[in-house]
Amino acid sequence: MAESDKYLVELCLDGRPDEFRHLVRRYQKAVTAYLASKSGNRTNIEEAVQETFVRAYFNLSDLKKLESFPSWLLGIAKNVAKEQLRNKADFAELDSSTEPQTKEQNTEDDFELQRAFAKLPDSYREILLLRFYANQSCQQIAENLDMPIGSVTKTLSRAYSQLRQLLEVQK
Amino acid sequence: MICTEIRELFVDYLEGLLSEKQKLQFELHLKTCCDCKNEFYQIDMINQRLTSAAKKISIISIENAVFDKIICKQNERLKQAERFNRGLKIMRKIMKNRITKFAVAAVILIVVILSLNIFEKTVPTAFGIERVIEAYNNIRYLHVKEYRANRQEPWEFWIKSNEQGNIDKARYYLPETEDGPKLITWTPEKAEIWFKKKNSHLIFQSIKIEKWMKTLIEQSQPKLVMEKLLEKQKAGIIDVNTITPANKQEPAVIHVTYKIIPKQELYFINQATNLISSIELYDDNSSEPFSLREFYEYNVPIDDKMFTLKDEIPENVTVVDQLNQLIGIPQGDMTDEDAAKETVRQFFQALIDKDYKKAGLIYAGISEEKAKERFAKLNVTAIISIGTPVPLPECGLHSFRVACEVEIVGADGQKKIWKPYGPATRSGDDEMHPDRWIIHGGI
Repeated sequence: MAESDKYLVELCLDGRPDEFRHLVRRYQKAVTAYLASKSGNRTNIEEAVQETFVRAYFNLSDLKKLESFPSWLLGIAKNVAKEQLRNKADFAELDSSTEPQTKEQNTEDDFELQRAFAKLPDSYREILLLRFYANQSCQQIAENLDMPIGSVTKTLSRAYSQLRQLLEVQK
Repeated sequence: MICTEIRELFVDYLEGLLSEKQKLQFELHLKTCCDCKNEFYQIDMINQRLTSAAKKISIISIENAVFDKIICKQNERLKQAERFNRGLKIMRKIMKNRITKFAVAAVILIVVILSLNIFEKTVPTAFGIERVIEAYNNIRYLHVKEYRANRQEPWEFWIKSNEQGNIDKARYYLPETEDGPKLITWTPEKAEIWFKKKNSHLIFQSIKIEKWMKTLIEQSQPKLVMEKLLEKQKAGIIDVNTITPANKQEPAVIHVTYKIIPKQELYFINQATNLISSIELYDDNSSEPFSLREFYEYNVPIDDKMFTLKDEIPENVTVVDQLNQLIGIPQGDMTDEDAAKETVRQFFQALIDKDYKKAGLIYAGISEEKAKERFAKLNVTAIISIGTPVPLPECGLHSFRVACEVEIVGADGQKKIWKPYGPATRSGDDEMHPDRWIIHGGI
């Protein structure tokens, strides 16, 4: 089994920056999906994803609960997205009035889902990102977030319900 | 199991978390309950859409890019820390001096008081030039050291300002110059220079020294330095970036890049006081600064004795007082060339007449005693010729070398013709008395 986030963060804090590569690999997709839900511009997303990880690395010592690395990381991504929004004015929150610019590039993208996903509360979005984009099992999520597996499945269940409602409203 | 129980297990079923028994019960219920079956179908659809969306996100690995950025940033930080440590190293060197230990203790006390005042008023956000300028409003004393790559020892400046913020008094120690070590004290009324190598003490005031002092002060008084920066920023000459480390013990850095010329400047600011701790100047892409200025002892009162040379210079020094006596000869209606010739003529005539007071006054203003000590042994008895003055632009706009021949009597009692290298004469706006001509060398 892969090393836990906590263990990897500890190694990084111990002066082994190379171990941070595992965390980048593990959460790159989740951070990308999160930032994609905040923007339609792919070029900026990649920059923002890199910035998120670099910033996370240099602030690892501020991470109080090592288990909550993913939620903390997404918090950083949120700040990065906000800053880009302020600086470039092209990092727009997705809503019914904005169409992602990538629509022409890939007609198979599920934009309805992306739009609904963007409107989810952070806690629900976070758990879906971990489950689907970081490809973690409920067991792994429970371990990484230091919570009982029952709480993970309940949160997932609520996230599905809310996503379903949002999708229905959009129709 | 009833419907509500079944619906709570949707996620567990999808995640494969049910026991075999639970799984059978779950599937059996869905076969018989259309509502639950429909509900489960909806959730399953979302699950599939999410799985599919996640698969579609094609990403290029950014692992290496992130890692490169981390290393790059870490190097930058190390470099910064190194600069900070270098400052500390210099500080430690100074701390070895017993007197400065007290001074440093006083600085710490003042820094604490200042920082208390600052934090009571505002919570700092980002560093701006304006804030640094503001912090200098109450600073009346400062001490600066300027290190240069080509110098063994730093140049050292002490500055005292009055309550209006104007410079009252200054002291400069320049250990390495073309003329050897120089110690300068300055007030708006009087400048004194002790040329240690020549052992001469010049007391004067001139537009030239005024300008020179003004430049030095502008470069070393942090408030003036910052005001100039602000002007340059407004004029679009420079880009200014500030780095404010979260750790308040680390200095904030104002990074200035010139847009046209290859010049960069780093200003390290103490985050507690908003005062500059050091300035580094870079003239190209070099990683080493060509100039490093360290600022010490903010607001530690400097004894007035530091701003006068009276107690420091040796007794046998040649005093050149241009302030308290009228030196040289007046230009009157003469042309520059004629005035230069006349200066040389009158100087040698004074030597012939053994009027050493007059000779001293023409010779830049040295004392009668020193003039006698220096020129009596020449035993000049007659002027044979005075040549055409040749301009000496390197010594000033109104500076000439005047070749001449004089008759002297040697130690053996024989008359000889002596051709001095060529007395150099000078007048001009840069001098203490712009309309009077003096000899400043060449004999």
